[in-house]
Amino acid sequence: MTTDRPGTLFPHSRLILANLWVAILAFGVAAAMAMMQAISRANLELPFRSAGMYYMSVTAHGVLMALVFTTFFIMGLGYAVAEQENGGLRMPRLAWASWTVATLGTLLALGAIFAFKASVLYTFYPPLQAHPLFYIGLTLLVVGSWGWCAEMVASWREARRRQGERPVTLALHATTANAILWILCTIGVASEMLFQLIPWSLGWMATIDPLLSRMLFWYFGHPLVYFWVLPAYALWYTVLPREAGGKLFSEPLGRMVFAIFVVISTPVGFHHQFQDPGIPASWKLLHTFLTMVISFPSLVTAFTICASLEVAGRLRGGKGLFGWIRTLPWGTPWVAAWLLAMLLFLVGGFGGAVNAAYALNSVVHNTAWIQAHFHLTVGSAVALSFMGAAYWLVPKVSGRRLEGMPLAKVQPYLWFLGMCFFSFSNHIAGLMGVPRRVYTTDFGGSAVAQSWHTLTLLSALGGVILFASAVLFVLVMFATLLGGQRQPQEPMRWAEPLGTPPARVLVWDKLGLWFAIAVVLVLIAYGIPIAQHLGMTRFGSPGFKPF
Amino acid sequence: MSEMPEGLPKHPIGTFAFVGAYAILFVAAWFAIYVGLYLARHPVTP
Amino acid sequence: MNIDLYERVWMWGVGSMLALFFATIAYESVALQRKPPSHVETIDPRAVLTDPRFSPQGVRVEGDGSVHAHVVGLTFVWLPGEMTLPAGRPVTFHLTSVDVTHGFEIVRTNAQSMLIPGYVSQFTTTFDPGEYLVVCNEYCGVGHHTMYAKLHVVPADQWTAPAAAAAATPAPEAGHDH
Repeated sequence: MTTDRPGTLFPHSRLILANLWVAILAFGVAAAMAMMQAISRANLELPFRSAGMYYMSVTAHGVLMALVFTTFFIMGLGYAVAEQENGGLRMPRLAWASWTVATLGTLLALGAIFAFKASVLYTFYPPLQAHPLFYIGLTLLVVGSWGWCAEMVASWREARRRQGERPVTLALHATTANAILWILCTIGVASEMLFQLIPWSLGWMATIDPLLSRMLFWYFGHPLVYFWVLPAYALWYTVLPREAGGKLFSEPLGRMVFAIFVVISTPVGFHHQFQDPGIPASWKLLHTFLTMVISFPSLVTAFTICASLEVAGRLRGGKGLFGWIRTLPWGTPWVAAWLLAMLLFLVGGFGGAVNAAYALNSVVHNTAWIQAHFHLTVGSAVALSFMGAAYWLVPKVSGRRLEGMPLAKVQPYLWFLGMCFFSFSNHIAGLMGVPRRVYTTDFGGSAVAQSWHTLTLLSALGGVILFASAVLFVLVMFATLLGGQRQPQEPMRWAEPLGTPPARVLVWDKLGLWFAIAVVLVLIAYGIPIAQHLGMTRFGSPGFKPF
Repeated sequence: MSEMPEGLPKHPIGTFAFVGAYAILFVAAWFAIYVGLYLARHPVTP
Repeated sequence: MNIDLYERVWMWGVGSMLALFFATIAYESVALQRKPPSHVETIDPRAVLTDPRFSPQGVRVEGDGSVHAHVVGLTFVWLPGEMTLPAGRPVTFHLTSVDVTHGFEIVRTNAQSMLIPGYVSQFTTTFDPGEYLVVCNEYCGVGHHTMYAKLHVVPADQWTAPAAAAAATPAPEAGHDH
């Protein structure tokens, strides 16, 4: 293809940037949608403010942030990693076709949403029924991402072949682990789309089982969050220690962490359905156990990354127990973004341990606590890390200097401040019973609803500050990509491990093995309960469009 | 594989203190919610 | 792998913490049988309002004296929109939806349940006297935020069981099979 630039550091830089462009544009539009929600939360009477507009904007915000911004950014980052490892991509035509299909799908889904024909939120639970193009569009987005997975696996196999006895880089290991995790989990949502939602919305099937839909969605929906977070972890493991001035502590444990995620990301999804009828308690308890297990690699990551930062901070002159924190390069925009993302994630991870605690879930399910939780996880650990990654990666790949450096330095701190307001208020509000996904929290002027008023205002304030931060990010990216001063491309420089570099392939590197174990675990934790469910006599539901 | 560079403490003592404090807060907050909210409210059974 | 001593201690520590959480939860849900609703029973969503399990809706007292609340969710109301219950006595809720998925939440209690059309939800709990707001916490359309109800809980000696309907209605137990 004429977009190849052979002889350059990134021969497929246009492909990488095409993916990042869609991500950045999606983020910008999604941020504008969020501003509309913040205004609603503050009960400001502005033109166009209505329940219909609100629920459409929540759908747009969720789809664009959780499904589009994330997926395209992850694909762009993955192509960059694979390209650098092998000096090129294995199947660039497939990669471009994948981008085209995914982008087309996104536009179809967005068309349905902005035409007010798909206000079903990014979880699209039936029997709420959207226009068929919504489902077809999102399916194309997933199908496009499978092309990316094929390239990641092909690149990994090529790298393994070239390295022989030695392992591939931790960055490619993490990226490939993420790709095979994605292949396994998207089977669930693809099944839901192909066998239920698309034929049903087209009128080819009169009714579908909404509980089966939820099971298939959450089979996909929980590993989705690991699909998001693994690239953020990859940045924290392979880039941050070097950018902070240090080295990576315990590199083999890092390889272990990504292997564990391949195995255990999927068989945990019932923890999103603890309050659902129709699923026996025994299966819910099994998924509770597996969810506790999956907390382990994240907690190991916390130590490893923190230790790497301690090495960096002490090498930069930090003394005493915590002096190394102060000496870290907080003024470097991507370092600040990653450090602040991790701090917010400490609280988000804690929230997850509450959500997953089966009986304790009754206190928080479908309340504002849930919004607080995932804005700290996908909204900060992931999104803020990706924004930092954009500052770091885009100049290297595009050959353009990062413009608007003062804005880039401030932007992560503004995000952190807004998120503190937003997550603090919503955590408390959730414990006080505020339901989620609501246009207003008035409830007929009830006394308990009035006690929520201050919290919803604080949440709105947080939203406004976050929007300001989002605007800064988009401005910096536009200025850089469209007008950044030309400079040579640069390679991504991975952090060096402490001690001796990895010389041999370890058991953690054998991704085929971990994928096989993952399949067996999924057959047990999902195959059996779904088979049992299908054996029950059930009544289906027709579609409803109460929006 | 985790040998700290020359001149630095032999082990990541600052990290241990930081994540250790985090773990203590983690457990305390989890049980605060469990005892103070969940157990304080009437239980739900089948 | 030669893991640093401090990191090894950390790994054992967090492993124990997670085991402690799980042991607590397992005791709560298995030994004490206190857990979120997990009832398995199906119902035809198109025939809910004529099904004896949900017709009429509201409070019933069974032959053994147990108190049951039968609730239906539909966009965008709860049927019934108000109920009066006795304090201090176990109340068993039976719930379902006639259209989309709803979330029945009694604010400031542990009591909530998803309502999925085609399935009957069920849970039992006890109340202190007071006024309770019931909200829908699962997005169900443009009127989702208007879907709320009221629960009045009065001291048991001041509560009167609803009349007539009780004796004639069979206790809802087994799944409705076709």
